[in-house]
Amino acid sequence: MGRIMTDGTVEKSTSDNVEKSTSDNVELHVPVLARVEGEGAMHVKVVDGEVTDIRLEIYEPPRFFEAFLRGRDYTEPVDITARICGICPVAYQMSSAHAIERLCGVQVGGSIRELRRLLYCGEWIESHVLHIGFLHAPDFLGYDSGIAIAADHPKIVESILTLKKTGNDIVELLGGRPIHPVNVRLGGFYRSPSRTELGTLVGPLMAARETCEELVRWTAGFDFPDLEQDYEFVSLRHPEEYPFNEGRIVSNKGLDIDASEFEEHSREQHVAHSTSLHSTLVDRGWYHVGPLARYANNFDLLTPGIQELAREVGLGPVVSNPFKSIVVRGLETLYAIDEALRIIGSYTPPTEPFVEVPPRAGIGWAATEAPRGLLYHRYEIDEQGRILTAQIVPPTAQNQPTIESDLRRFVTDNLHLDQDELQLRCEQSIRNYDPCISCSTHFLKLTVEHQ
Amino acid sequence: MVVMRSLPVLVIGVGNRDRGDDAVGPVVADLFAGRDGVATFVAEGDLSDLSLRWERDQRVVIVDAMSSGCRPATIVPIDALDERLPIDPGLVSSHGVGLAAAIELGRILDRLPEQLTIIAIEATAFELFGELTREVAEAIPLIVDHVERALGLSPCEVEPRQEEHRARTVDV
Repeated sequence: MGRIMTDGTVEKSTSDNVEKSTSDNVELHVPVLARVEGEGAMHVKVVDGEVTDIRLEIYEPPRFFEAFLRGRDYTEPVDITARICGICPVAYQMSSAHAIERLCGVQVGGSIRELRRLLYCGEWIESHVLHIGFLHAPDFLGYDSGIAIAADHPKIVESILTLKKTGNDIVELLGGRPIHPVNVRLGGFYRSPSRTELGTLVGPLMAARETCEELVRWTAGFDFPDLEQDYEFVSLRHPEEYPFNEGRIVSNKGLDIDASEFEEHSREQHVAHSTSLHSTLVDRGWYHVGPLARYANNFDLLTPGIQELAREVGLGPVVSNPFKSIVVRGLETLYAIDEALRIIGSYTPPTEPFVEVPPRAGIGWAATEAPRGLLYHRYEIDEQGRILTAQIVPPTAQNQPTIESDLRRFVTDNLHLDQDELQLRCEQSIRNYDPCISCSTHFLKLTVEHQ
Repeated sequence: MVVMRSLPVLVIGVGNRDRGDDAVGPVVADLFAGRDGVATFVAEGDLSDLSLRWERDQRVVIVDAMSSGCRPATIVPIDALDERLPIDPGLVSSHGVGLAAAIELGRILDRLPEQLTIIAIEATAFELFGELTREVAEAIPLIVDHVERALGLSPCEVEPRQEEHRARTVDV
């Protein structure tokens, strides 16, 4: 039995720090999986050349947001749930607002609805660009971080930072600050921007568009490992627009439900090795949410120019190789830029920045598209507006079984790889999904055991 | 927030306003907002694009909370052009880039300003929705004094947030 210790964060595994075993029994231990958010570990066990056990072990303490929402006022989840995540607070704000507005019989339209889509554009740009530049690209280029890339590719990294800043500026202008926006409320916003204010975003967005096209072409040229799975892609589908806030929950295998039916069709369950619940679809099993799912279910709703760019870089309307999610994130970033420009170009400030949302007893549901995938919220409130129950199903919980499935498939198909290469690709398989295990700490351990 | 690029000096407050002592950077930056010749910027989350927020001919002070084991509210001035800060790999993820890494990015991209001073304050509490601790709140006038001296600004009277003053400075 050999034991391999390496710090995956500051340096990739090398043969120098690998204690190789000449037998078939090897234990590979990585104390930190770089650049992934949260506390967890990965265990892979191979017996006689066959993968017998794969676990994404999440041991970060649960944070009980659903529990401490109970008893709070129905206006508060928009602010409280935003604190769940530092990179996708808008998603939490939107899912909670839509669920509670539905409960109260209010539908927000017109310019306020457009501003919400614009806010989501900003969050997608921020999140996707950070993922592409600082999480995923280093894997393909052989660097340990986006900072290391900067030394050899300063222009690309500067472009990535400029793109990211453009997303930040959208969220800050609409939300009042670039993280945990404070200008969002039930029914809309506390203050709506003027046309002049939104106009300041046009120049940077136009420049960002060109930069983003280059980014898509750059990432499409990476060397992608072979991994194709027959995923059930689950996402929102809206009849007229690539989905952010609204639509039915659909899949490429026939699922077509309203958000109110989601819990009838999905199951959250505790597994011994994770403090995060695992989600599966009833009678259907694991499924895939996120950019690849949105893209597969909504390719026809991308602009013709983005569809053409996708074809130019070799992507069809469905991408089933999770390593190529980096390219799809780039295409979605481009969509967010185009959509932001469209919204700003046709914007007329609303008469009032919000509509009143008076409380009434009942249950409300909503799902919106966080950068990492479908984010479902359900709330039950009484006639005074006090929250009785809350349910939140984040994208990472839904993708956990899928990540484990990818790992099983990848390890099975690649046992011939050098230990270092196998380990790196396993880590990369996890990073394909940009799992957000938590927003507070960064620690993940990978153990691969061969017997 | 609007960074007025024509202004010669920039005060950046780094930290999360909702997390106890981590708010000290934003609180101090707020105190400089509107002063003649001073631009301010509050960076509450990911800092990856920090080096795009200043100009090369600006003089910049960054105020940030630190957790080093020093006595609470200890103030440590750091010349970031002269010293390289250790990069904590855990602060470079898909959710954000920390201060040291952001400055290193600026160095690699040749985007550092004329002066870059960090005023770091030892913090002890980072709880969600928490307030500044008494020690850090009381140190704010001294932190402001450090920023003014670093930038050669005229002193501006700032009331301590608490009655007692226990802050001290460590020169490095």
